[in-house]
Amino acid sequence: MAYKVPWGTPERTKKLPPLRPARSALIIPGVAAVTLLLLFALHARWRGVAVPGPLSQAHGASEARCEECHAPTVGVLNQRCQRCHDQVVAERLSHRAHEQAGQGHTAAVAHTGPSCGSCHREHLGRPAPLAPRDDGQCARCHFRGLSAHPEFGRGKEAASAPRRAAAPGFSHRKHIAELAKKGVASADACLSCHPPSRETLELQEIVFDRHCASCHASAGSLGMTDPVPPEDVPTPRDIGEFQTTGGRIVKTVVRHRDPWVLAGLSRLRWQIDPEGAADERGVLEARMSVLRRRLALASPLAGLDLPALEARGAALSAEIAGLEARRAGGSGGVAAALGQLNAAAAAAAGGGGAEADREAKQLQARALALGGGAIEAQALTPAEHDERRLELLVALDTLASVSGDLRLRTEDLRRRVLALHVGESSEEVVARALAERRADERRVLDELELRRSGVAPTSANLLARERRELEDALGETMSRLQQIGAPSPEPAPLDTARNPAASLASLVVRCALCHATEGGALGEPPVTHQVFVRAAFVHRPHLGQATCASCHAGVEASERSGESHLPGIVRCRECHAPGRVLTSCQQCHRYHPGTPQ
Amino acid sequence: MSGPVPKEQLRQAYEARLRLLVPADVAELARLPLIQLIPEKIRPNVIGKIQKYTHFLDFAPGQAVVSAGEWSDSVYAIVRGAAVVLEPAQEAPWKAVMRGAPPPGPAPTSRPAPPRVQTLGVGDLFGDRSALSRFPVAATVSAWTPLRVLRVRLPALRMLTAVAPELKKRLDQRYREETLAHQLRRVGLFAEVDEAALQRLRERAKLLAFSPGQIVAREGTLADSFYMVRGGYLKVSVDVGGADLAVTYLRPGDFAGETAILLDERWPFTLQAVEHAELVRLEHEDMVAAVGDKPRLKDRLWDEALARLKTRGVVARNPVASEYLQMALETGLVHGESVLLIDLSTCTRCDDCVQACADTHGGQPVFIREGKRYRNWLVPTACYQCTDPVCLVDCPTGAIRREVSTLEVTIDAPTCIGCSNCATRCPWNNIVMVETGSVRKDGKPEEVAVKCDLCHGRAEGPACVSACPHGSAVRISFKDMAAVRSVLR
Amino acid sequence: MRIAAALRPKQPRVFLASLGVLVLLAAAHAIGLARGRFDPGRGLGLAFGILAAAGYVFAAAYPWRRRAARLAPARFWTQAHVYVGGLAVAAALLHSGFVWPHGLVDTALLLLSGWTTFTGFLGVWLQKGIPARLTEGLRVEVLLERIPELRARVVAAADACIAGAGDVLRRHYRQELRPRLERPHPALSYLIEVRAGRDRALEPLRRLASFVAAPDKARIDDLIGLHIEKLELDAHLTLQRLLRGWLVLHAPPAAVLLGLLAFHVFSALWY
Repeated sequence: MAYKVPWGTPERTKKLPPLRPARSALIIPGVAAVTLLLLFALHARWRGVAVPGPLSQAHGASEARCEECHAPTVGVLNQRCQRCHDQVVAERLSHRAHEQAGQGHTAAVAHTGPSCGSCHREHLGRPAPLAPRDDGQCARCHFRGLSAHPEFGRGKEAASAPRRAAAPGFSHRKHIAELAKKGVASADACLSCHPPSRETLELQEIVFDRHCASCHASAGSLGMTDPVPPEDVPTPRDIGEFQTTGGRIVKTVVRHRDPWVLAGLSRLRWQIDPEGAADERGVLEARMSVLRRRLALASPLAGLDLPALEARGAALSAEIAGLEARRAGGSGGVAAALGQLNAAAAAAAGGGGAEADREAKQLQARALALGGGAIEAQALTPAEHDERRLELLVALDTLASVSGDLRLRTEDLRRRVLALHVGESSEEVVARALAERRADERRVLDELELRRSGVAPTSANLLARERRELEDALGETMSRLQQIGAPSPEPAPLDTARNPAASLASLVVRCALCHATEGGALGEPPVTHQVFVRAAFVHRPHLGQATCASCHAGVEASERSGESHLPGIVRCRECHAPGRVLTSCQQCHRYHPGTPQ
Repeated sequence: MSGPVPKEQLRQAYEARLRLLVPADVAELARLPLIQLIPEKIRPNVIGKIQKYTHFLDFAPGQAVVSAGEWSDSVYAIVRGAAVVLEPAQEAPWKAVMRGAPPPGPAPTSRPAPPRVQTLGVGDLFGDRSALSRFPVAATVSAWTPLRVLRVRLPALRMLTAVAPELKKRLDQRYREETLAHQLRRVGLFAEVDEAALQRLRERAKLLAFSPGQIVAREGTLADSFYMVRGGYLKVSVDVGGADLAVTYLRPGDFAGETAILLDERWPFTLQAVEHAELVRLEHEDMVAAVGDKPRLKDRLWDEALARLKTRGVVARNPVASEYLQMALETGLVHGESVLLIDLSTCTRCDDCVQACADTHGGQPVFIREGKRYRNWLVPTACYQCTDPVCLVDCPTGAIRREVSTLEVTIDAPTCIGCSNCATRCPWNNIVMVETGSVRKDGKPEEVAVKCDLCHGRAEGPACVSACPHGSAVRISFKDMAAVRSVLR
Repeated sequence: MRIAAALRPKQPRVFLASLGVLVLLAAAHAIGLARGRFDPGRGLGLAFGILAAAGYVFAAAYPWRRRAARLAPARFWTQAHVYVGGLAVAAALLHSGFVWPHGLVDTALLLLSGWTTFTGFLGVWLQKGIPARLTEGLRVEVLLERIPELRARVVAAADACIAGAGDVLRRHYRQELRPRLERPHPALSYLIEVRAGRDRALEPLRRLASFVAAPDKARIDDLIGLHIEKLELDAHLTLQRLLRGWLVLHAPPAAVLLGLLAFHVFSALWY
């Protein structure tokens, strides 16, 4: 008889067994403990707890201090990127739609644009690239794939480039024929003048001394000038290069950019076309002031020490206060400027000759007339604008020549006049300037805060290239200013027998082969302008794939330069198609342009 | 829980009552006319047996012998004095009347009773209907003069009715006159029968008692009577392939045999008493006379017959449900209005049900996750909320009570004095005595009785069911065959 | 109830709906990838992250399910915990862009999420499989806290049974059987088969039956029954302990996970 195992619970217990203690109450303290532990670790400067991944190689040094890029509760600000990356270049992007702060017409910018971090993701590891490489980002607003790319809008923006004088014409056909005479096959003719550059991926820029001088300036001289009257030109120094023929001077050895020729050119120009010269001078001075401003901005805050930072901050707040006062004055800005003009005229009237006295009285009357009447706050048409500007510039020049004391004030006024843009009233200017200064002030204050909290200043070397480019541009502008020269203090000779225009023509007879002369100014030679404004095309990878003629068809028959003979996008699509050559937006287009404009 | 309950007072009252419940004196018993109904030959024997279930009790004027709503398991016979039967509405005016001095003498002559109050005198019986039918006492019986009663508890009552046919006749008469008509009316069949026919039925009905296991009607025999259950349970079973399949059971108020009579059939099932059962039996010709000429009734009978046939057929196809029913009948689960069952094949023994129960009851769980097991179902020791709770009887303080409108039997802890009468009475030990932590005057730890009360007062229902993370805990009533079939697969 | 049937989802419709949601999320992720570079910190990636964090917090609120009994019973919250937790982990994976994280906290988050999910599914498997096994394979049903008491009763019953037995049986009992009956022997093999090792354990007694006289044979039968009961108690001990103990693998790492999550959210907002 087997012992039967009871079915079910053997005989119920009389006492209720004790309940297990509920341990779920430990969850909340556990969670809190872990969180607090990690927060404490963070506070104790163990950054590794919060870092979501190592920084890329370029930023690796910042790993020690998160504050270099991250602002608490806000995140990564563009400001912080701009501590190292030039805000000037970073602000100017390849298309207006991409502009962030805008260096020009902020009114035209529709939206503020993305932040740096929306494309540049960090913390993805040392070898990770910072610039996004996928076309998906572009495809958000634009299209995807070359097949959807519209036809090139060549030369559309070339219209906004400074007006260039019509070129005399560079004939490719002639030059290729000449080369053929020398034994260069037509297929190699292109490369003999347009060889690939050693430093960049592009072809070499045409420089006279390198590419043209071998034929045109053999023996170092372009040729001889025509005879010019000696009173129109500066005194020759180097006797060996001059001849005298019938009382006129001929220079026998004319080099490229011959200084004597250029000096005479400048003097004659002031006689022929003083307004044009003054205009160009004004433009150059404006450019200089802009470049100077950019140079100042291009010196990163990183390079300044604490006292300098504080000084700049104080200067900026003073400037802001001034701007706000001007804005509060409303259209009184114009009245204030006129009042200053008035005061300048009165001062001029005090000292100086009768002529100056007369002009000053005239100016004063006009200023009073303007000041008394109602000032209509409407934009001038471009023609009126130029006219008025010219008037003001001339007046300012006159005043400056009258008295040295007024030089500073006239300089300031001249800068302000030149900074005016067509269609922009002074209120817009003030608003724009205010916005820019305020952004600058924010940067300075942020930098001060970081410095005070112990963050080290960043290396100033990062902007060396930018500075160099700006300095180069500045230098070039200054040298051009020098070339143009100042208006001569002596009054123009009242000799009707003189013909400055003829003298000019004789002087630059050799230059006129390539340079156009218009109103006494020597225009730029017909160098091709940049075709693609918003994209970059490099020749080097294509040199081995196709002949020059396959894209530049018909160049060898052209008589005038300026025509680019470029094919449409069809030619590009022959190779850049899915399944053939890899195509991505980034190959041609850049979001941030590399060089200042 | 309102105000501090004077536990000591309650305990003293209980102990006083305990003292009252002394077995009756044999000599005095023998003198009673009630006892003299027993045949002389067996009288001493019977007296000896019933002595410990009979007690003499004295009441002062104004004291209540039984109160309305109470559960009683005894019949009372007035030995000396007079009592009044009060409807609940009459109690307050009666109390006002009783504030005056009680009248001397055995009969109320000097002070007339308030109108419409029934009086009882020597030899009258009361409390038998609630004792036999398990309903709460309908009306308060209060002493009018100094009163002496004989309290006969149910076991003695059963014995007496068995040996003293006179007593039985008298009790049956009382039942017949006062209750049977109501109960018959409640049976849908007789709802439309006119008063005269009902009277006739009442007179001709036989009142029978069956002991546990007795066969009332056997399948296959000629069906010549109609049975209505007055008290107790009957099992209805069919013979399927030699095995006895329980189909359903009949509770007080249920009936059987009407289709058989009206359609002249044999019994299609066996009727068996599960426990002590009191039945009302009507003969064939009386039934036919009462309902035979009512065509609408005949249609209804047909519907009933078909429904019952279907039930039997379903059960024959699914013997499992029948097995559960059998188990329920045997183990007593069939008594429950709401039985907690735990499906062991999905229960992860996490004790969430017990924990939730403890949370609802102030840290004290009122059931243990232990008990009988049937197939994959565990029946924990949680009160079944019996239809006929035996635990309600004999609570000295009235701490244990049943909400009449709902199902729950609840214990009011401040009122409970821990006498453990209820715990002892529960046949399945579903009531547990727990220590409250304080100590009584005599040094023993104070205890109270706790039991499952279906979490009455909790909006979401019983905590055990709603807290089981796997839905293993279910509450069903074995009276609901549909639930049994759908849940206990 | 068959064990295989026990592992089926209780609410197949909810299960399928969750799979559907998973597919939707994956599709959203794929579309987002096609449109541009995926970034966990903005746009769709951030949405996934917030979804995942909300799911984690909801899943961690499970211990307070009884407070919400007014809304739904506990079995609803249990199902919700499993499904929402699973979907939250999927959302977290999508949030990471399926790139292995570089940082310390992020790697810990991913690993802990995986561990918590794995132990969660392990728990589901245990909770579905063990009760069915216990119910189907064993006759005894016992509360875990009572097992020592019942084991002592088995020993007492065996002692009573052995009284008056022959020397052989008595010696065997004293040396072999009683030590076995006294001590608990939990074994993981009960997880595989709830009656594991029964034949082997009873073999010595059965073999002994052929060497003893008739009354002892009856005693051996009784002892076999008692031994079976004790083995069933061991099975209960192992399996009920497993049912309670697996939570140690799941809940503390989940608490740490929540702490890391809080820190992750903080550092994302702060930096």
